[in-house]
Amino acid sequence: MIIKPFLILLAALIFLWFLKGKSSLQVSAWKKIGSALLFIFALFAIVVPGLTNRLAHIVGVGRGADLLLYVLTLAFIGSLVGQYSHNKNEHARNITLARRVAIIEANADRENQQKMQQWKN
Amino acid sequence: MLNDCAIIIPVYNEGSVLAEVLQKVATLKCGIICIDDGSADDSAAIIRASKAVLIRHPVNAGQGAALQTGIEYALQFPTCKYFVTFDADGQHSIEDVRNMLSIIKAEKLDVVLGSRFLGSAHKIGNKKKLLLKAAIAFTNAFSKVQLTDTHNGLRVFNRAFAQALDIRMPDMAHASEIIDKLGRGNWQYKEVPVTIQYDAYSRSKGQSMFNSFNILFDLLLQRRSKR
Repeated sequence: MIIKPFLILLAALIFLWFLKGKSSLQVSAWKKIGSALLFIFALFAIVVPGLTNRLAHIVGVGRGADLLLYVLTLAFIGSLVGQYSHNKNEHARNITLARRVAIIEANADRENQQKMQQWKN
Repeated sequence: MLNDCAIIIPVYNEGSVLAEVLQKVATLKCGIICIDDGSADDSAAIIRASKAVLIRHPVNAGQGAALQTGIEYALQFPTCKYFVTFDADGQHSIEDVRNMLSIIKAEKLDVVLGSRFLGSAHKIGNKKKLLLKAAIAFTNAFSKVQLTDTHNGLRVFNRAFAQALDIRMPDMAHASEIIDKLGRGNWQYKEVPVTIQYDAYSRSKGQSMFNSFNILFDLLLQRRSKR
């Protein structure tokens, strides 16, 4: 099949892209191991398509393609939820930062200091 | 010489009414702290020209965050014993602030909350009333304290409560968060009737019904993550 080399090349590129990414230092070892396993599974699934079929039969799903769809759907929803909570945390960090900057600026401000002078006594 | 209280006013695009509000607040002889929460209009310039201190959030961070910033700024001054949260749209009355300050001092309370349902709310719309009553029922159901008005911007509290506060909810949900805080500690508090002036301006700035679902959602999520 002509598609196989392309799929393998693409999977390999995505895997390398993930490993070489700027954030690779912050990505935990578990995530790297997980992605390596995923890559190996992808290779097998591409080279031996019958494998996913057999796996599907074991867990009681009709076809390997169906099993892939189920797993993919769950992975997609999981990644959406993860992204949502990640964004919320980022937002909270930004706000903490903005508030800190605002207070530092306000303290350094001459006019503010003058206005608050009579309050210090 | 200013007295021992800080009026904390979160400001977000209130340029059209702000000057008048700040002039009225200045008669209280308190420290006035305005937090410009990333306004796009001339709010910052109006604050500069007034007696109020100007704190500027570099980005819009929400009313709850603005209050927290103002409280932290005021806490830097040991002179400050009482903290007043006040809305910038002019719906609160200065007389009520005076009354609440004298009550918190005389009765040695930690927190005094304004309630528009104990007092008289002028020109309050039916839809707004329904929304507020729902918010009150919700907040009362989830926290130990029972109040007649949970989403009133006018509050007075002492230094101990100000230090304990750590507002995390950026939007209107911070009101429920403050009540939640009140229910968790052994705080002495009281509700005092206040008058709210609803005009076309403050109505237009009010929370939409739809947004209350957002607030509900955030609060529920926050409760889950606390456990």
